[in-house]
Amino acid sequence: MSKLIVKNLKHIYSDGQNEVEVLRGVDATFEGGKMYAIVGESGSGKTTLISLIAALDKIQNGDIKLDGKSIRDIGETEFRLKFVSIVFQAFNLIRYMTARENVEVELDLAGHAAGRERAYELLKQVGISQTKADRLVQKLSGGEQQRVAIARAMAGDKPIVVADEPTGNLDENTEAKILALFKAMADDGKIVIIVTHSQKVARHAHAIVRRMRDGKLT
Amino acid sequence: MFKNMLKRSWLSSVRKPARSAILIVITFVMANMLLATLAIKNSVDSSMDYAKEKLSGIVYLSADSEKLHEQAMASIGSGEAASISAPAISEELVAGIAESQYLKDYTYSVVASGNASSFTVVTTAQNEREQQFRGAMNDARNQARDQADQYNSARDEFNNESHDMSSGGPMGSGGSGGSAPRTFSFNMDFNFTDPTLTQGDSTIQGINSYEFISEVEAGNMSIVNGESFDESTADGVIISQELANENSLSVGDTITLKTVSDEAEVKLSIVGIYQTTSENFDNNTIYGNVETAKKFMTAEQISNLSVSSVRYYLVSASQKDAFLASVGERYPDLADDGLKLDIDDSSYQTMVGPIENVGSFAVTIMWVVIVAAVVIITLIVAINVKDRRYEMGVLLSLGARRVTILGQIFVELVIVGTLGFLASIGTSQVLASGLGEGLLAQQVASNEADNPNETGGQFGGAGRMMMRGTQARSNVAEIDQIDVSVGAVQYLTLFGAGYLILIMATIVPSINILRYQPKTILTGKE
Ligand SMILES: Nc1ncnc2c1ncn2[C@@H]1O[C@H](COP(=O)(O)OP(=O)(O)O)[C@@H](O)[C@H]1O
Ligand SMILES: [Mg+2]
Repeated sequence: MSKLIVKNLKHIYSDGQNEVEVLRGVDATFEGGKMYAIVGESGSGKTTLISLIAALDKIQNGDIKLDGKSIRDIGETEFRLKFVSIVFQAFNLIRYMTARENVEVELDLAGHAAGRERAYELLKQVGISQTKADRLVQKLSGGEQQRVAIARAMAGDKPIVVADEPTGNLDENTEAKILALFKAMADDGKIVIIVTHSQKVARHAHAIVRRMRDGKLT
Repeated sequence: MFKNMLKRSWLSSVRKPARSAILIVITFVMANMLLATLAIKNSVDSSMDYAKEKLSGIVYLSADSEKLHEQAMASIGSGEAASISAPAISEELVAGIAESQYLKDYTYSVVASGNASSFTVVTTAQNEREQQFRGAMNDARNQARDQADQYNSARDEFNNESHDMSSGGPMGSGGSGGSAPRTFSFNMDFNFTDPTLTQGDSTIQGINSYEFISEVEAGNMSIVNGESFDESTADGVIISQELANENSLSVGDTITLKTVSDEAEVKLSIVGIYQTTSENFDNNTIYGNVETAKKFMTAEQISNLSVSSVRYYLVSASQKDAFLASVGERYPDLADDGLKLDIDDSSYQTMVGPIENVGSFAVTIMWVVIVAAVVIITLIVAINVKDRRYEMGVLLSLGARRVTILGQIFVELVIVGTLGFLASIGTSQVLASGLGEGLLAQQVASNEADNPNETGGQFGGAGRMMMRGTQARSNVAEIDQIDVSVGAVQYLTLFGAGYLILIMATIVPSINILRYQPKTILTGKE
């Protein structure tokens, strides 16, 4: 099983004069087959941390290693392509494409042949029927769009899945179903890390809870 | 990877039909303008080459008017009597130069004058005005002569008086060192002559062959009846249709003229009747060979004969310089004698003037179109890219490489651009021809407005006729037709330049977004 180690991670945002030290030495270990929930107040640096784990931003200080290999050495683009899938609160789907086409983008990037059938299959697994799969994503509900995003994350079949408040815009009933999908991916052996502002969500998902406070993870 | 890029580009293009349509229209317009201006420029260039080739194949021997002018100014400055006399071009010199190996042919003409005897000349408004002009000139000359005579007799009177005074004066006479009588020694004279003031009513132009008549060369004259003449056609002439109609003359008839000097009769036979489309043409001009024209001259006139319209036709235009050099060796004093041997640069300018303007105008339009296209497409792409910032972030987060995303946006433009370009293949020819002809017509019109004399001023008829006598080069017509054709070269250039424009339009706005980290793009913090 994969192992992700975050070591003494520091991150500073600066806009000209002002400098904000958001991460002040984050240490953590995440293991495959488990689901983690990162909680903390708004502005505590959760998104910053998850972005670094997802290689969406350059590491300034400290290191992140997957099975002993640093993101720096692997390269951010390569890391995103091969090792990490991301689900965002805002779904992050390509608007002019259908649900199926969005999933296919990921399959295409992963070099998956016969993408179309596989996309329908994955969408079916997250509860999107074939009819809905052929609709433009902007015509789907929020919950459905997040399912599409999860199907896309599943399509990549990468060892790490990170999600930034994936249920933030959804009602409770839908939230539970979405969390179950993440849980299933963890059960599948992946490292699943979910950022949430809600303790309740964390408990509900039977996740290992970690708290962001004062720029550190406890 | 490329296939996936293409797939996304295709989806993006078909799912945003309005944007694609706008881009197709823009690239279509751009392509049309580009093709039209390229084709016009191409056509202009080949027309200019043609004109150059055609004109540098002909070398003129004529008086160096600039040099004459300089000499005249110099003599005025030194206080001498200003005398401007054009150097004579003898038949001997003309024939000597014609021996050059670089020539395939040559021509010259002589102008003589006679008076109609067995027929009457045609009267036109032009030659009526000419008569008035001549009358006025004669009056002015006579007045000037009277004035000069008055001054001269005043001088004599003064000199006589002053002589009387000094011989009978207090100082005595004959003493050495005594003051000499004050006298004037000037002599006023007015000697203004113009051959046209003393000529007859008919012009007889002698030239070695009909084909070389400048009107014929310019395409303005043709034989409507009978045949043309050449060096061996003794006493055979061609006359204008107007003159023939006026006197009921036809081919085979004989006409009689009298010489101006001694009123001797000269009989000429009509071998052909010509018609000309030139405006302000003197229909009393009779064309024959040089020997025929000489029959109207005195022996003295013949021995001092200066020929005109001397043209040498080179075997190849490229040998112009070699020809000039070889003539320079044989006749080193040509320039000192006030003669000039050169191609007709002013005719070249006349010919290509309007078309050259069209060419540079086309180039200007072309650059304006290119700059406008880059700016407009860049703006559209920029707006569009901003719109798609989010999509770019998503693709980056999925592990797509930056060049692939750049490529996708470029390919989208290529798809619509190619459609626009291809559509222009059907329409550009029509636009190019229309634009080319329109621009040229406008240039020709404004050219004529600038130079009204060329198409007939007040003394246009006389002026032109006199010019024709001394200068060979006033009959070249400007190129007023353009044959624009859009061909393979233009299409290749279009596709080359067109895709380059699309690349430029893609790169700047895209890089402007893609230089950021995906997180920054996705959270909209850039
Ligand atoms: N690109 C940025 N530039 C400057 N400050 C930023 C930037 N991104 C986040 N921040 C600041 O960093 C802090 C942490 O932000 P974030 O990681 O988004 O917190 P969370 O996700 O826990 O709400 C916040 O105070 C936020 O304003
Ligand atoms: Mg956040």
